[in-house]
Amino acid sequence: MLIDWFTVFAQTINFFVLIFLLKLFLYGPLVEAMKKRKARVADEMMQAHRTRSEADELHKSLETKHSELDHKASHVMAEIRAESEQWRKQAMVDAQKEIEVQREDWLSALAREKQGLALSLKKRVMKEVTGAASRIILDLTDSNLEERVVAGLLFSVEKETGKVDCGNSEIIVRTGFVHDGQNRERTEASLLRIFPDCTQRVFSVDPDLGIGVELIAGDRKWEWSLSSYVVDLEKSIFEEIGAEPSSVSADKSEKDSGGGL
Amino acid sequence: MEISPDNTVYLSYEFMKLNDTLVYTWVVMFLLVGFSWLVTRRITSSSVISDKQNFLEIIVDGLLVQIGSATNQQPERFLPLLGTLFIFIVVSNILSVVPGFAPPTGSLSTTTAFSLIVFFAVPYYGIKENGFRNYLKSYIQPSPLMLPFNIIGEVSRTFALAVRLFGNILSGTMMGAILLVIMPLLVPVIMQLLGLLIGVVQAYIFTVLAAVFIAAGLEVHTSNS
Repeated sequence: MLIDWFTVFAQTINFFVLIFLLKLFLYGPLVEAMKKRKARVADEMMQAHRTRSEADELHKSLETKHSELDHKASHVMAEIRAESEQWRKQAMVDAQKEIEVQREDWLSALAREKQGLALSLKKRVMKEVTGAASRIILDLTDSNLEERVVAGLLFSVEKETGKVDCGNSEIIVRTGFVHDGQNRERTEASLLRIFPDCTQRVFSVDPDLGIGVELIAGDRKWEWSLSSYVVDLEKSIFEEIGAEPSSVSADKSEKDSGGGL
Repeated sequence: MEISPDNTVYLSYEFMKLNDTLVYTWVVMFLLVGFSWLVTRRITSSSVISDKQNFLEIIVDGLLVQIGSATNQQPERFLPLLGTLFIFIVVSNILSVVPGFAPPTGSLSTTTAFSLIVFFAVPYYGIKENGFRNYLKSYIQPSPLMLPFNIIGEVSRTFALAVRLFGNILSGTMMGAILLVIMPLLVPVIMQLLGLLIGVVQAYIFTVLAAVFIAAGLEVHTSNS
């Protein structure tokens, strides 16, 4: 018979012993270790999911913040652009004003330079004209120009007014040159003849008059100046250099005063 | 030449005999328990484990998966019985290639013992799960007329379980021995390799059939209740 029942019984016992031993040394420890590992992996997975969800939430919040910052940045940029545009416009206005001021300064400086040049030219012309007139008068009348200027004015005054009552006031004679010596004596004689009542006579020198003379008696004034003869020339010169003739005002003042030759 | 390792007796006292089946069974038990103890004495649940622990975890995890898929139940409670069946049978069958080793599974006494264990395990789990009355009712389902057929079915499948494993292992061993006499070169090696494959497959078949029988008993009783 192939079946030995003692062996069957013994194998059954052996098998149960083996089950016990393997449960003790194999299944128990291994299954426990595997369960712990699975639990730990599950915990780690749960933690990972939690971390991921937190990261997702953080990502969303960061995206929201990012979009808010973008919006704020665009708003700030728009404000900066508006401010810069306003500043640019203001700077342009300021620059234009400054340019205008500088231009006016420059124009006034240019005008001053022109005026100075014109005056310089005028003086030169007057000097040349005076020189030429002096030589002509010296050659033709054997007298100097200054004497003839004063004599001419007194002649004109006498011719125009005859004898004048100056009301005991002084007579002021102002010349642009030194008027003394025989010339002065002749002048005093002429003044005595024209203004017999005026015993007080004052002679003074005003270089600004140039070759000119002023006579003031009471409320009346007479004057003669060589410059009145060169007014047209002066106008031409000043028109040429673009400056305003300075003698225009002088001319006007002459006319306003009612005197002059 | 002995057909069964039961016939090689070292000691005997009345009906008790110390034969090859018992000796090699102890050898297998010693190897299994010793290897398990060596591996699990330094067991760890960390992610980094030794190769031997990894090897055992693969086997145990594979057994749990197979038992779970065969029974549709929590596999842990069946693991000691079915896992030990598989491991013992497969190690015994693999060791049959070792010259001089007589696999215990080549003994009809061993396979009968295993079949009887399975035979009694079915009602054990069925009664534990559903109670004694419900279990007994399953034998008269769907009709009391089916009672003898159900009993015959229980006995015959246990008998088939024992004879299938015994026949396959014994035939492999016998064929190897016969071929060693007829054609001593090369052919016995091929047959031994084929025997290894057959041994692993038979261990798998025995374990899965045992799982299916237990699960079938559980399912029948569950549906009855």
